[in-house]
Amino acid sequence: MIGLFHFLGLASVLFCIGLYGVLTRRNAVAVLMSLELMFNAVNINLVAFSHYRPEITGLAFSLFVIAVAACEATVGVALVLSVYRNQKDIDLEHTNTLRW
Amino acid sequence: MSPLLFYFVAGIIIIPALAVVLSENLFHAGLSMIVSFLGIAAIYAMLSAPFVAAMQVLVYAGAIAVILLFAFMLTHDIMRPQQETTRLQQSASAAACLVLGGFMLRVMAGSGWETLERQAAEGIPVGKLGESFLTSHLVPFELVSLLLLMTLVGAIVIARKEERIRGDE
Repeated sequence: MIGLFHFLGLASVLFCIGLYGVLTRRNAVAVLMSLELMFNAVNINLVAFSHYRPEITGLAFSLFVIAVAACEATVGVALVLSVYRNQKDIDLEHTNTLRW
Repeated sequence: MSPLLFYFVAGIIIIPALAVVLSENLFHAGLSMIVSFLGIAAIYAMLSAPFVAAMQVLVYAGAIAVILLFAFMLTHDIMRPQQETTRLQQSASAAACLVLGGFMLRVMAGSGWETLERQAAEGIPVGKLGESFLTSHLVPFELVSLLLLMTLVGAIVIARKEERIRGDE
């Protein structure tokens, strides 16, 4: 029998995979992709809880999360393009101009 | 919902997700991300949230995936293997992720959430969701529309080529 725990477990595994990608990838766009995986993991949690409790809030906020993720991807890609234009490189090891 | 179907869909999500973070070829990583997003849409359908599943396919597997693949092609020689992180960084990150994952699973196992009963299979109708956007969730709904506008303007401003006007010097 598949219960809430299975969905939450799937979401936490996906979250950890995304976190690993954020920590180890050096290409900025690859980091953004791993971030999207983490967004999705959170979204699975929201939908799963709204399914197992008679609540509409989780479902509504999962749609808000999708909208915010779209915004985040757009601005992130714009930043990446801007950095690439200035440095000819989007390797995160090399984008350390602002590092103290 | 049969367990077999769930584990099949979970495999469709997890295996491409691993490819996203591990694949040498970043374009392949982007394509496997789309597969993973489609699997997540199937999970939403299983959780009787068909509207969220449709939005997942449209926004994630459609828009966001295309934006990210465009970014790859505009910025990087994608067939060139990327610079790797060191073995130490990788193992430290893997250890941190495993600890965090184990901790989350442990907390969930002790939470008693497993006893929650599954709702009726038809789920929440889309009409009620739309109503809630205009009543109880009006403020976040309006904030999201404002955020989308700001993103639209901000992305154009950030990504456009800077051309300085040198008339007033």
